[in-house]
Amino acid sequence: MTDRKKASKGDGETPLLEWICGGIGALLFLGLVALLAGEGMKPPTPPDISGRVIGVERRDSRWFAAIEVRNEGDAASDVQIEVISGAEIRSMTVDFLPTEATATGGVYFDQQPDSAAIRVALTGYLAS
Amino acid sequence: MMRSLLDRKCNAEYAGGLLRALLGAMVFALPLLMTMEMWELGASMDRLRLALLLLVTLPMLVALSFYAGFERTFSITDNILDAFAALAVSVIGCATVLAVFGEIGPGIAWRDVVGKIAALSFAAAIGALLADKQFNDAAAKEDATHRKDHGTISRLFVMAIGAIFLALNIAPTEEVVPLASAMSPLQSIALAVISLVALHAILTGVDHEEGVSVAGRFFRRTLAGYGVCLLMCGYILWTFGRADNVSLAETASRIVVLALPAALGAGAARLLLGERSDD
Repeated sequence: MTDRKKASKGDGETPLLEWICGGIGALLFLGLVALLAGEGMKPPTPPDISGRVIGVERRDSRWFAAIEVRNEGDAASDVQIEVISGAEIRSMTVDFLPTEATATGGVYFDQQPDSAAIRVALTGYLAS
Repeated sequence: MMRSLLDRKCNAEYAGGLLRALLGAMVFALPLLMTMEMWELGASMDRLRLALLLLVTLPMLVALSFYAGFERTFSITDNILDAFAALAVSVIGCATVLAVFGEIGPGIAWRDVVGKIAALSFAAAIGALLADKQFNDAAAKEDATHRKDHGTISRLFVMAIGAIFLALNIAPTEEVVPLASAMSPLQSIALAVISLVALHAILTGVDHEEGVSVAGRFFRRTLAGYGVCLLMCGYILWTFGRADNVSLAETASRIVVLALPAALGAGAARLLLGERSDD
């Protein structure tokens, strides 16, 4: 390594491993830039968020409704969800929901929810 | 020529350098790899800005390879190869850690995977090239007779690297925004003055120059270095979207907040890169 500092550099003095690693790095670099630039050229799409109930079960003396929230558009934060069962309304928040991401959680009801009538409503979000 | 290309000792030494680079990349990037805001930024930040960041980072890495890379070389070809190798090591290291953390993997959109890896690996690549300074005793001894380019551009470049070294750990976090909002204009000015004084104090302690007046050092080194810090912080904040949809005054306040750690890093840069002025 000390000799390399003193010699004038030519390609023949560069070890093969250096060429291989440099080539891999160049491919990764160009690939990342190309993917990002291609993604950046697309028109922006607003968050496309939907929610559904995936199950209801009894826990202690209350009823737990499991909720799944899915985002098919651009990332969103502070996603506000309301779950409505008859006269009971419960809310939940998803801090951050990236593109094509699913968040699961749930809310508690005092009365047994009607599976046919329970619904999930998106009430707000912040576009990231 | 082929014998040098395939020389076992040369390749083994380079492999050792790569391992040090991987270690340096992870040491430098681990705080960012474990920062929630970086995961979110990787998923949500503007793609064209992130692509631009990678493009801007590459010449900086080549220059950093010249100053501090994981092998001693003056060849521009080797510096370019080392810069790309640092990126390769960083991408592989960051991807591995993110996969172990569960931040990338099956079920996560590919665009988020690409964004997270890109956002983190540009920072890790800086650590990869700084690695030799931190982990190689032989290199530290060689640096005593290493190139002694102490021109203005090289000094400012070294300070810029030091500024990034500290500022990158804070720039992605959300705390910069409420800090800047809570500060009055007078407090922002006071913070800028404190940053200038701190930078000047560090430069006075690190750079043992003779025959340079205090005023001369302040104008030539401190002000120039702080200017570099402000530009770096402004660019980083713009890249991360922290300058969007806010007033110029608010943006200025955020830049001043981030410039405090950047200034400390810039001042200590000579310690980090193991160079000392002997003008």
